[in-house]
Amino acid sequence: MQTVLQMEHAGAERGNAFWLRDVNLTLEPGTFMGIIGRNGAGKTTLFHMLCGLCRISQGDVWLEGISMKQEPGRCKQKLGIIFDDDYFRLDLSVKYAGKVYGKYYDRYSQKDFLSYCRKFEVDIRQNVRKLSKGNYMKFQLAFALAHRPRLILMDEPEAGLDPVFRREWMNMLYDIMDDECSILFATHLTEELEQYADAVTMLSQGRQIFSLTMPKIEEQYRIVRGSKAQLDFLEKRLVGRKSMEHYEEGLFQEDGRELWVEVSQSRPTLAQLMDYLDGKF
Amino acid sequence: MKKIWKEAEENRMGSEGKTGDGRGRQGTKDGQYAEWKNFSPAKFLSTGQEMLVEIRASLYTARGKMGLILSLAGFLWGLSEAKGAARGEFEPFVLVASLLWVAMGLAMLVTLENNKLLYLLPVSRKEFAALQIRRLAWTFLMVLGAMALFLACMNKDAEFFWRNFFLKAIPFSGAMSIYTIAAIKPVKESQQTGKKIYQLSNAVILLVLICCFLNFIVFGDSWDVLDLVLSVTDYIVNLFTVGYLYWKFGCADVYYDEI
Repeated sequence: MQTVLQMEHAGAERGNAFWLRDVNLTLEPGTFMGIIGRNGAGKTTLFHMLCGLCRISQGDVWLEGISMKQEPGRCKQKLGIIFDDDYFRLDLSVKYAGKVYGKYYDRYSQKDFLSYCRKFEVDIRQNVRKLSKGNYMKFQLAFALAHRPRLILMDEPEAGLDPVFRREWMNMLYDIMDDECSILFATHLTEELEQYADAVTMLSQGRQIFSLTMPKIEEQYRIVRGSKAQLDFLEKRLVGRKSMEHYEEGLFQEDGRELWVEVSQSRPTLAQLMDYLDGKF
Repeated sequence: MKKIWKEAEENRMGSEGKTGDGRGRQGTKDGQYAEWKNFSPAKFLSTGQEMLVEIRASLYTARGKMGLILSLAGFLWGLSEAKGAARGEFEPFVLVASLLWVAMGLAMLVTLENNKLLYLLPVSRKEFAALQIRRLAWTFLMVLGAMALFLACMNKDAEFFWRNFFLKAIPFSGAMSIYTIAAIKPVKESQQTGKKIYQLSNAVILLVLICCFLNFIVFGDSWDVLDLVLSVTDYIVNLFTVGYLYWKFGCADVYYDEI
């Protein structure tokens, strides 16, 4: 199957400053990829670049082999967009918003839209402005699914949502994913990504730190804990190191060699990876 | 409404059938003809239906209600002025002001407020530009309809009607419809792209409005050279402005994040 998304040395600049540079990632069909990074890391810029809100000033982005630079219209046909902010015309009812904006998509089906709205329990007669935050997200998801996108972009959609809804939302996403549709999901909720994501890309200060599948992350990184002497021995092979009250901890990146010291090892959480790898290019 | 949508859907399917899966829109050999497809009758009708839905939705908002009140007030004011003209009391500027109210009300009723969406939708710049021109055409027809009704209510002879229809009503309606779409934000000239045309849009709109008001100063009962010159100038300025707006919407290299 054809790769859904491919970015090669993609970057965005504003004036003389780069907001994002040298991003390389590949997304296979049916993959759920999380984008993590601190505030200002470039997650939103990456999404803006993907959906045509921001100029791709370096490299290129391909959606199913179509260049976003050359043919943005065709690329956008393949994108479903779920953003935290309001971008629909809010005066329209859910039903008419679907009808008005669905016309711009070749593969849009109003029947599917209404059936997704029913499934997600969104009142189609309600004004978009009057939808609750959760229902607005569901409405966006229903609209996105109704034009059968190949890639759904979600930029921190869970911000401001209660934990119960977040779980419901993640389960919903997991249900709708199939071999044709992939999801790119920027979030600060790393625990949820650990549960659901197939791959993760980390950004820091506008640069890509890694873009790996979850098993690869487990293979490549380990948290090691031991005495100061033990970690001193490993110093050169550690990506980062921290002193705790009773022990020392570090992030070890697999280099194919034995450790040679008896230290406790564990799988790093994504939050720990962010903590250790932020700013390390 | 259902019937209208069904027809729109059929029109859409019909036009899609001709362009396959939509790939003919950009980057193809027939790209030069694709621009003209954006002005097909089916697309024009579809835009009208879209505007109807927007007007209907706008009526639920304070802004929309204000727009409707303004339009209706302008329409009634213009109508009473036109009837006054039948009795020999006629002030062209009152008619201009009333039509301005109608146009302002329409702008409030149908202007798309959310610019971000326009960038997210899968439409090319040229398609977006064509969409705006189609909206302009609909507004033009609405204002022209109102103006024609005013002229008809003046109870003058047919020559008066047709002379003022061609010399005043058409350019004036053109200017008013230009005004309703000129404020679209996503096409602000950008400092990033090096296009040093700041404030050009405002200057162009000002030129259109000045020309249209000047044209209305001479609202005579007979043919006059000044009348003709002003009307022709108004036509030229309007056509130039529509071309300028199309270029600005369709060719300005500006992204949402650069606005």
